[in-house]
Amino acid sequence: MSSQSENDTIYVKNKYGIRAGLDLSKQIRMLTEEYSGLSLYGDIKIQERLFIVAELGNDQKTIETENINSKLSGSYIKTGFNYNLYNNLPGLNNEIYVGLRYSQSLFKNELIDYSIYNKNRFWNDQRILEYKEFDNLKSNWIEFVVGFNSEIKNNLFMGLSLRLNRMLKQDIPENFTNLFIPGFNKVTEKNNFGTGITYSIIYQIPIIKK
Amino acid sequence: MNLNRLFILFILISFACEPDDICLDSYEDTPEMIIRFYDQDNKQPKNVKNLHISSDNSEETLFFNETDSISIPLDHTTDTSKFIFTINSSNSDSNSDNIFINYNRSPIYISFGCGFIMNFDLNDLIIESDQNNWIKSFKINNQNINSETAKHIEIHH
Repeated sequence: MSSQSENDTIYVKNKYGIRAGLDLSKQIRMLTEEYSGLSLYGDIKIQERLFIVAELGNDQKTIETENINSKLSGSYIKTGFNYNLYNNLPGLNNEIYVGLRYSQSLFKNELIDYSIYNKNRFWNDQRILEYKEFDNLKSNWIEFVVGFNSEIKNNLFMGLSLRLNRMLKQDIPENFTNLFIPGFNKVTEKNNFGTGITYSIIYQIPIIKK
Repeated sequence: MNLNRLFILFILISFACEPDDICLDSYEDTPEMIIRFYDQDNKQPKNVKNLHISSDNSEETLFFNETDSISIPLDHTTDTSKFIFTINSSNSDSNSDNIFINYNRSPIYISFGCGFIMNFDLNDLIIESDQNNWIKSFKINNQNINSETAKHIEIHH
């Protein structure tokens, strides 16, 4: 009887265990923007459809416009869960999931130079070089996640996710603003929402097989 | 559900929403210094005619036909603006006075689209004396140049 039930579960091949991954969208952004970053991903399956997720990373982004030249750098941690909505065929381990993260970031904001907005062109429009550094800024936010992970080879997953970020709190430097927050992405003014995308390669470390 | 279709949907959504960071005209730009001209004797508003304003540090000029009120921009890159005020500039009796305006500057952040504007805190005005100054005296009415609603300087002539 006990050997019978063991055979059943082996046949279904449900994989439990820790997965670790890397968000490759950061590396893609590094080719096209003044940006560098690294993001690590980890999750653990605690129930048939439920994963506990942690993401850890850092971002460094330079924003150069006609008006402002600013650099933002720092680290973040995101913790939460994914809930798999996809009904797998026996033996498959794909996910189409929704998830939630609580995210925190610690970062530095540097104002490098800026121009002065003046419609009158009497004086030359020279930029003001006034370096200012705002350190130890903190921010936290919630992320709503939809995405999928697909097992492309044994124990190797490819995943894509889209995020809607809702800012809860950010330290705003005096007489300036945060144009970007590590982990949160671009910050728009008078709007508490932001967006993000990840493209991940995830490897499953097969520790537990039920 | 088809994973490929979902993938394409994701790509489309992720490139769809990029907000425009434009500077709307309704935002105030850097305020100019408002000067009003008064008669040196009876202290009543008195027009200046054919006022031509230039500076050694600018290739631009300003010209006012006939008025008792003007606004001029201050140099946001230094703490002093030097102007040459010439009245009756089209006539043979033209008269030029050099004016130095000293101030402290404080940049004010407006928005990503507009960037910063500059506000000024006037310290003093120096009218360089020459043989025949047309500017007899001046008075600082409001040393904070953070709006263009009222006069900052009176010039008596």
